[in-house]
Amino acid sequence: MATISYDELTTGYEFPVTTHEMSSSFISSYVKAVGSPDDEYAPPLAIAACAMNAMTGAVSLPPGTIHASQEFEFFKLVPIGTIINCHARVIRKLARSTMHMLELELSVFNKNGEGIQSGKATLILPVQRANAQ
Amino acid sequence: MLSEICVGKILTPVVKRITQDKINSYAEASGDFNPIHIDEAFAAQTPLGGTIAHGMLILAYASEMMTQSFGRNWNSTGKFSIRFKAPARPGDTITATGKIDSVEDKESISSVNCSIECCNQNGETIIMGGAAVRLSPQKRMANA
Repeated sequence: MATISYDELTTGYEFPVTTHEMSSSFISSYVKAVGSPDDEYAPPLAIAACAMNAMTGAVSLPPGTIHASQEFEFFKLVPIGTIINCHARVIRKLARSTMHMLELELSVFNKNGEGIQSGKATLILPVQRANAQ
Repeated sequence: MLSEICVGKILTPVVKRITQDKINSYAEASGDFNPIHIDEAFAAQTPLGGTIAHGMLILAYASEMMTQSFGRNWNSTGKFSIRFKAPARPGDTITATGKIDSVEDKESISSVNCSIECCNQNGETIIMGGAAVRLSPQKRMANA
């Protein structure tokens, strides 16, 4: 559920931390969706999808928003059943006449506070006609 | 796993066909319900002209290729830096490819740097970028 609007976002804004369990049912649906082999560890991009959700679930982005670039670094194997905490922070927000751009820093930790993954995402947002005029 | 880790080595590609069902399944699994991916009527009205796959779905294919080549080292030490260059659409066949560009041995660790690309059936680049993974020399030698 969105807790903040795009217009309210500022550089440095930290989204509420989200918690996810890398449950066997979640991993099973993820692995089925991407068509990758099963493993006893969570696929790193399943964790990354949760990290992205820490942001996309908390802000109402305009329809048509697209993902422009992505960086990730993985730090450790994550067994099925692990609870993860996902943090997302705005590191840059740009507004031009034809597009808006949002850069986010993503960090994922286990319940012991150990880093599991970090990353950076760049999103391009369509400029609403009303805003462009 | 790769049989040999050396500069120029081509990673075994991963090939996947995109369907709207797969996109919908990914939306369900990931919780990303952006209408550009799942609402065909909405997407048809946008400059993209139709639904597109989630970038993270296509990136998962590149990640699968890296896991296939480097095993769990990828899951625990991997690094991606990529750009989404073009959308992937239902009906596309995506091929994730990669090549080892450099291997740097430092202290007791080898850093393997790869260039990666995901293209559609027309050769259009969907994702382009780099990936890196760290291996212990024993693991690297075991693959040699």
